[in-house]
Amino acid sequence: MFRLLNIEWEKLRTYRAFWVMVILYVFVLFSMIFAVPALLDYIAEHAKENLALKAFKAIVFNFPDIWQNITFVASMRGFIKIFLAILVVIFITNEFSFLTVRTNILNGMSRGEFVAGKLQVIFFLTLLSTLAVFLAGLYLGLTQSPVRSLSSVFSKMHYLLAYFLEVFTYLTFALLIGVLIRKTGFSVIVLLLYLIIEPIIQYYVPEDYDKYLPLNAMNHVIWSPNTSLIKVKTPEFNMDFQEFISWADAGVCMLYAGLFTGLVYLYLRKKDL
Amino acid sequence: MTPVLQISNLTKTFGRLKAVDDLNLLVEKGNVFGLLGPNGSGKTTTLGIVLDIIKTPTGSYLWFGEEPSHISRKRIGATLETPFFYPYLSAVNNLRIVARIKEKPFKRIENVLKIVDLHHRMDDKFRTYSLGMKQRLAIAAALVGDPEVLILDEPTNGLDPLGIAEIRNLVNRIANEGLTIILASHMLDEVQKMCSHVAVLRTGRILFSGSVAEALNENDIIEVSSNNLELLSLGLKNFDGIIEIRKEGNLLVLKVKNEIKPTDINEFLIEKGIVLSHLSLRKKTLEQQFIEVLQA
Repeated sequence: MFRLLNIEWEKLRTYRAFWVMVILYVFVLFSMIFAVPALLDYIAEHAKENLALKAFKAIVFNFPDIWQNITFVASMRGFIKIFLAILVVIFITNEFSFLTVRTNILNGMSRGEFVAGKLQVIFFLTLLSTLAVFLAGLYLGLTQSPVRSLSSVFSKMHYLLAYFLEVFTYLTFALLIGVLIRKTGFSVIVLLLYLIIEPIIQYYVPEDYDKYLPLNAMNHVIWSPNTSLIKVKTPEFNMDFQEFISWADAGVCMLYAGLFTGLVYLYLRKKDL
Repeated sequence: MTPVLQISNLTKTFGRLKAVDDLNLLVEKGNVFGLLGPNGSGKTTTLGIVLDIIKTPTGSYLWFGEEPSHISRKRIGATLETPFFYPYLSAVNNLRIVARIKEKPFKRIENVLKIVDLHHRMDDKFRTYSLGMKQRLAIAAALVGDPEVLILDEPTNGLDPLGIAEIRNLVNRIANEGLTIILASHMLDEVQKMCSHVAVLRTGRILFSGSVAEALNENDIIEVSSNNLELLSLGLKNFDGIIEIRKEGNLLVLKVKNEIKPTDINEFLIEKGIVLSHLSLRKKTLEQQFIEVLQA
């Protein structure tokens, strides 16, 4: 079962770019997550409304809700996921630039196995990311949250699952771009450009449909932090916030993951190498 | 005995170019089969098709009598065109990947590297290799899976004469162990020296297919000479069995039918009172065959 993953691991374990990207990613991720309390503390020291901010901090890092908030930060509009996506693009376009995709098939790998191996790498990268978020959340929650009962710690962790889905879908998107374009530099550029283009398309698409666009669908799964404080105290804010993950959003996301994977497989099946 | 490889009516078109045109081929176990043809004749394309690199041909092919699949490819070791490996990985690591794909043990790796004489460079990254070394690593990769069939696409490409001789010895040794070998080449003497069977290709079509011995036996050549070539030439005109007379320096080169032997010519000329100063049988090389067939 792990054979394909082992093969991919052989390709990656001594590849310097792989380690650089992974370490960079984890570093940036942790920085962003741990920067929030640090920032809040800093503001608190300099602001007059200490109490409100302390309350705010407590709410944000409150245990059950921390999962939602932290995953929101971690998945914000592709800022951090982009590192992982670039890594995915690199390892798939490498196979094309080195033409080792031909060598792999020649040696007895089926085209389906080739895609499956790449998907397994994506799965584990996503797992790594989710684990990192989980650990960070655990640490922050334990140090900041006033509520620490076991049940509250583990409730609402389905946001982590949603995070997993979102990152996984985004990475299959990166895989598809890598397979279609086959050149590293160009693929990365397209990936970055798409981050800019989709909001533009979103502007023109009618309100009801815009959450079906791929990037938006992924982001929509976790689209706002939970700030019940705001809901209760300040009606003038009038911000919509998310109380639950909608199955429709998750469904769309899963469909996209399936679509991208399917396209990658169909494309590679018929292509001359 | 099920043939190792059976190709039936294989055709592959790239846009307007018909790279392979209604090709039929049979390779039996133990053959050292040469695919001979000039550049662009479809050798690499044919090999690419049966190795599942090039897709959507019409026609069909069978490996070991079965429908082709990636599983049958594990029993085959192949090189195709230029060798491609991971440049940032060493030879050993690259071969580990090959071994994993073929689901074969790692212990053959060192052995195989010794066979192709890359053992002293085995921990160096692939990108530091010269072309000859890359070629040899490709052959090592083909061997590492302990294959039943070895496919080599122009294996001596880019090698110096020493390298070429080494590869030739290697192929002969492997052939003696009973492996089936398919060799694509545009080098005639290579095929002549290494192969038991040969198929000649031109623009995607097979012009000739059979054993090398067969190919060599067509139309022998007899060299004759005497003090008076004009007279000799006239004298030979009535000899039934000569297909062609050509002058080469001070020799007359006669292309004769298969049954004619030098003694026949000698007897005929003696009866006419013509004395020969030179009489010898020249076995036709594959090279001449090749060129002739191509010009036909």
